[in-house]
Amino acid sequence: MILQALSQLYDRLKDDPENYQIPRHGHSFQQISFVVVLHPDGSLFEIQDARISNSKNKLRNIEIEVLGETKSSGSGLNPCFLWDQSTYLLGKRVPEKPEKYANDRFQAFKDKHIALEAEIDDRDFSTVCHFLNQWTPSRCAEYPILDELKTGFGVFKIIGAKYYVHQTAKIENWWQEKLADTSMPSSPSPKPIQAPSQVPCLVTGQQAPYARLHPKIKGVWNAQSSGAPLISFNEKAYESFGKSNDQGANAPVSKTIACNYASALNALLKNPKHNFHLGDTTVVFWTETPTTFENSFSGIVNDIQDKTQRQQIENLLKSISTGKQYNEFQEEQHTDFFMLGLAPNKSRISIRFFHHTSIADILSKLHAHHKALKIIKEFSEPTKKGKVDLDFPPIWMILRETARESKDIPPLLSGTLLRAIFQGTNYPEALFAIIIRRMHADRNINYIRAAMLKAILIRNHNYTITTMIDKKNTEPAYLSGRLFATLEKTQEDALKNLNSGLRDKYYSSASATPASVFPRILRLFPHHLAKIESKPIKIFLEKIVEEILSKVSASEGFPVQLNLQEQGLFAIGYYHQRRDFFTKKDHQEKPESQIAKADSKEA
Amino acid sequence: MKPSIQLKISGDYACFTRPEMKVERVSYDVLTPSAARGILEAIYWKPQIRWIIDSITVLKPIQFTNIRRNEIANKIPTNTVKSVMKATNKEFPHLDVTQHRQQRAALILREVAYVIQAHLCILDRRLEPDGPELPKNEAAGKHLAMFKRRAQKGQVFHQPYLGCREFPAHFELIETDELILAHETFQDTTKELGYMLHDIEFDQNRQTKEVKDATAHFFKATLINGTLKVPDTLPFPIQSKHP
Repeated sequence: MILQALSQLYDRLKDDPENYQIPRHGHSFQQISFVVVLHPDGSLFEIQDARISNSKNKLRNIEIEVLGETKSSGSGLNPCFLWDQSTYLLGKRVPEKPEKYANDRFQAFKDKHIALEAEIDDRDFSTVCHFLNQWTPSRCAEYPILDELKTGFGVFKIIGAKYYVHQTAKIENWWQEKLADTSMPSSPSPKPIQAPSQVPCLVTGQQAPYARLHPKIKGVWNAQSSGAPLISFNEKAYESFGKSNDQGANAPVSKTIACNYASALNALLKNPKHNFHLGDTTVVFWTETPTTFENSFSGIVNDIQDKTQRQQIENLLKSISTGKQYNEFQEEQHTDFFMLGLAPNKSRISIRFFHHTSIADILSKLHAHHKALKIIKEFSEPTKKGKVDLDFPPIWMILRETARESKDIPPLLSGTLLRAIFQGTNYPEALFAIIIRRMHADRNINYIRAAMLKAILIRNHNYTITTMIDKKNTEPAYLSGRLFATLEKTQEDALKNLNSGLRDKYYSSASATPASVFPRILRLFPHHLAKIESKPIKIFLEKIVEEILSKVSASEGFPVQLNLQEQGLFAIGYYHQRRDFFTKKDHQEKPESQIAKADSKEA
Repeated sequence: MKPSIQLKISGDYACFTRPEMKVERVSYDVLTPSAARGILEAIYWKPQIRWIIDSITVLKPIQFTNIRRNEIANKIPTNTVKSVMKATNKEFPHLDVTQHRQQRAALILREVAYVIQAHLCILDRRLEPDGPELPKNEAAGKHLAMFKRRAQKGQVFHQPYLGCREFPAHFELIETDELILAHETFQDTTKELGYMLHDIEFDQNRQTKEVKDATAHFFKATLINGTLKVPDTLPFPIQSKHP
């Protein structure tokens, strides 16, 4: 399914060269750091540093399309064709290895090219061969630039020519012909393999020669930087049917399909419009045909503030919140939408999830998620520091609330949360437990945490919770939360400028065991109340406490213990009541000055 | 009348691994015919018969989950074991697990339930190697009766599993002729599953049982109204043990 979807994507991408970099068959894009410039007679002119400085003034390699696939990893000799590291190209010594190491590699590189000189019969190629013949590795010492470049790749160029040697027309043609009959691996394998036989490909079902080694995927976060294959059988335990050393035969995929899906996936990973990170997962997504939805989607998950896309993203978000399909998306509704999550695992890439549905379905799932999350905001206008609560908190923001530092965010949670949102299934319970735990630890009950708790309680446990404060709710946990917020507000109003108030000292115990804590803090209430100068506020706060207490005593008093879900309800009650205090009311129950002062303390 | 049966399978987890994602396992969406055959063979099998799967009905919606397992990278070579058996090698074959640890992630199915419809194919009409040859219907009837008895009692050769041995399967024989419908979410839908593993053809030496080669065969799988119809004929011939 996955390979099939990707190879279909390839057909779409290869017709769009300005947006997607798809290398031609038998080619790949590599990062090049230097160019070996030769005179027409084969002598060395100079070794040019090919890197260019980017916007941050750091030197970056340039990307060029070269002949052959990405270099395979491993300690064997595997010279590439007309491009390679300086060890292969020039015999440059590697610090920890003996001289023989570099010499062997240079020899292998030289032999490979000289052997093909007669066959290719091109003037520029012969120049390169001539150079390789007369070059001695010890001369590398004359070029200190090579020390700086270390393991970078280099290509050849003849002085005065516009293109690199491997881009010459004659060499290109020869390469294409070579590809047509057998596979030309950039790395000759240690054992000679027979030409791969025709087997049914498991993607197309047709007979075709299978790919022994699959091309590598680059751009997955925290995976091997040189690229890791999606499909590989690199240890004995992974092989079946006795097909050892013949890796690809364990899962026959035709060479063209292997090339196609890898190119498509690499192109998606390079284009920031098509991918985003979440925890340790790199997620790529695409639609069957180019759509506006595809363009705006990354805005939702990443909250990209790209001005040009702002309007499109706004439209998308509006259609999500109202649940109605906006006009732009009307035609695209039934287009297929694919999402693939990839995670690194040592030298391989594992698949976290694969989701295939229609755009209409995704919109409705996002709408459901948004509806569950909706709760009154803490900061609807940006504060002095620019902090504002968003209608659609991006997923990374939700996950950020689960740990003190981003590196402590549990990695598996991102995949499960993403799946829950896009498949409309229950949210992960672990998320609920973690948020409650964080609230106990740092006593910060903010918009995102309250919103997520509300969403989980609504979807997983069928609670009905309102967006704003619900004065008719008689759940003991909810009432306890409201009461706690009121008592805290009283203390704040009475004793301004507190270092550690009620929340810091008592939140944990109050939310877990209300019956033992509330009698104690209620005893402080009249004292705090007495200290408040303004009579209207006194009456206002007293009324709220009375109202809550009467409801609590009507239902068997304070609960002895609150389980996890009830603790969540406590937090939501607390949050609702607190928001209620800081919302300007039309009929002035509180003087303006008090509200303004409280607002500044909150911000 | 075809000697066919209906068996209901269920389990907490399942992993019908795709051959191409075998290292970091990714499961197919639905029970594969070869896994179904494995379950039936765990309940009852003799070399004289072969189970052929007709169709698979999905009873629960398709849900995935991620797990990670610690496994090892190497195998003890069979030749080492053989040489120890023949006493040419005195050293006991061993594998130091701590040197070869590998952690493998897997994308597996959760809470699965299927109904398998399959029939028997008689390869050898004798019930015993030196017994008389029975008429076809009688042989089929006897084998089928043995299967039904065992399935009713819950008798198995080994615990049937859903793709990997770590995921045991619970089974229940469906006696009546009623047609079990797929889960309601599959009503009036057609889902393309791509190419799915049909079965594996083993090229086996009759005498020494040595497997010379194994080829995987695929078929285009479509889930119509929640039922996966498996092609009637196997893409390779099956031979009985005796000529």
